Amino acid sequence: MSYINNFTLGGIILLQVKNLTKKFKSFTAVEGVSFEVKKGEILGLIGENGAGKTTIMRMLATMLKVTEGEGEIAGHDLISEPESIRGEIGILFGGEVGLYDRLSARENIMYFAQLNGMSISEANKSIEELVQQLEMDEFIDKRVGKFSRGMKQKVAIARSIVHKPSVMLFDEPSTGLDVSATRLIQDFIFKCKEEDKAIVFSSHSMQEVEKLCDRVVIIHKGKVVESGTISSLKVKYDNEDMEDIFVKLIGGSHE
Amino acid sequence: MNKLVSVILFKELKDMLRDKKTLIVSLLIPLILMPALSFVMGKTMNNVVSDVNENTKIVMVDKGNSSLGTILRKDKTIKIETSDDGEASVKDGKSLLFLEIPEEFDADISSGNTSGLKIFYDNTSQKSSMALSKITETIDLLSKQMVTSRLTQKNIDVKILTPITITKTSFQKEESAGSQMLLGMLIPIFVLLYSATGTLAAATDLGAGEKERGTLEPLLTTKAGRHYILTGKLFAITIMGFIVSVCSMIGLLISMKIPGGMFASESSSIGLSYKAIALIGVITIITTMFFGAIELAVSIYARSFKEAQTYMMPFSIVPLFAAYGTMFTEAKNIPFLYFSIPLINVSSVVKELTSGIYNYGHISITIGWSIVYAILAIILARHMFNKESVIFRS
Repeated sequence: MSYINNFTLGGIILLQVKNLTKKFKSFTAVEGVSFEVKKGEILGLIGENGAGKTTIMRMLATMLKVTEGEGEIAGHDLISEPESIRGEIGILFGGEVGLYDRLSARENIMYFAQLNGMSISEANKSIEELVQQLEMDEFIDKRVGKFSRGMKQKVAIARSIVHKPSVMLFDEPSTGLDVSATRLIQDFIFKCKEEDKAIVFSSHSMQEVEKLCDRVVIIHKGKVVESGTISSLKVKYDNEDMEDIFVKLIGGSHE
Repeated sequence: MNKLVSVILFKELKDMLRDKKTLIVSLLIPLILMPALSFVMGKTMNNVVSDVNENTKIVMVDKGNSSLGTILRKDKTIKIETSDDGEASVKDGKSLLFLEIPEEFDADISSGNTSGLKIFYDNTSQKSSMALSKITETIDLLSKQMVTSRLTQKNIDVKILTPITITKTSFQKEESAGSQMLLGMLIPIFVLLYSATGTLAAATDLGAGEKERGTLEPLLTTKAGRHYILTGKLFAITIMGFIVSVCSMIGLLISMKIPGGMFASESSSIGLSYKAIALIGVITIITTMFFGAIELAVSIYARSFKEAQTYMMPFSIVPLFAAYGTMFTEAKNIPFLYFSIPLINVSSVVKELTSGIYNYGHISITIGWSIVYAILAIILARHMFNKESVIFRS
């Protein structure tokens, strides 16, 4: 299966990986994964828990070293320019929001802005915009420790995008969130799309994927088992239910 | 300093300084511990002394109403208790010692013979031992008087008994020598203990704490490379550890000035020179960095705060062993090998400096090795920070 399909024509490719492989000692977590994401496109990585989605995300974020394969993000080489890549990507991971309780919301965001190489004045400007966008003015200068989950989520969102990245990575961002917090994140992802960012979004929820993604890559046991637009997959498998298609695909490859 | 390193350093310091409870505990304890200890110990020591000096309770059996008995009875600081069983009274702690004077004591003495006294005391009690020396002093005095009068009767000069006299002098004033020795034991312990424990809270928080809060992953996805993150954190830990060490030293200095404390009466005459303080400071910083780096390595390996605290246990014990190792060695005769063994060398040189010995060979060897050990510790921490299986250990 070619990793290039019809829908990559037109539009600038911002993220591209070829034959991405990750081995932990004798265990191969990800094997020969290839895909690319264009400007303003949302790519969904679908797979069960342990399929290798998070490992792929961590490799894209250069937190894990790639065992084999190559990649390019926003014009930087995945293997040789990890620092430049980290400056170009924004990350929002599910589960813990991961904020410093004793710092204010502003300080939390400022810390990451500075670590991503922004000057204080640039960062201040960017933070002001985000405060308006996410309606955070009531609590921006309060310490995060006593925030509600929703408030923390907003801070985490602001932190992920403060340095104006061109590529966004979302790893199961809505895990454990209630309806309104999930909606907040989904709106944010659409906003990123509007801003022409390339987005990789991983999930195991079919509804979410159908709602958000332009294209999906289905991962099973570290390998790509299928990829394409949701509509093209529905046509290909002659089934309107993505969940059925998914179960069939990964069921088929059970050993 | 690299801008990223300073961003991380200042954020970590700000974060830690806002944790008021941890801060108070980690700064106040070393600051107050020694003065409090000195005050309480000094107080009880003085109490014991004055208690025995002014109120020596003894049980005395003196059937012959002897001259010695009369002397003791006349002494207002000695309180004669009545008891049927003197030994039991001492055992129960009701009296400090039990003295039995034979009936024919005076007769024996005046006839030029020897008379035997019996004293029963409690050798596990400090007070009883002090009472013993007080009573024996009185007896010795009496004994000397008797000897003098016997010799005078026989027209012999008393000097015949003391053919040799000794005049003792030393370079330390007699009364400050004890404190100097005590400092030589305490300061090495303080330097090692607080370099190791002053960094604990910070190292736990900056490694395992970061993992547990879920902030480590976002941090690692920033443009800042891992070596900057590590360096910033290490500086923050070292600074916190050093502040704690300084607090403990201030505490020690305060405790020496406390009137009626453990170091009382001599406090004015002892003190470390600025040179010694500066050198001890340098050694403390390097040692703090050494411990900080190892602790950060351990902390980043741990999955959680709790796990980190368990792994950190040895760091409050090992330095004590190192300090005890040199506690009773003489500052002047520390084996040369000691100056190359980690921690022992710090303890040894600090002991020398406290005793006013400036052996620059020893000092440079120790500082040299300490830097080497600190670098090795930092390499270990770097290794841990770069290891995927450690960072994502779950």
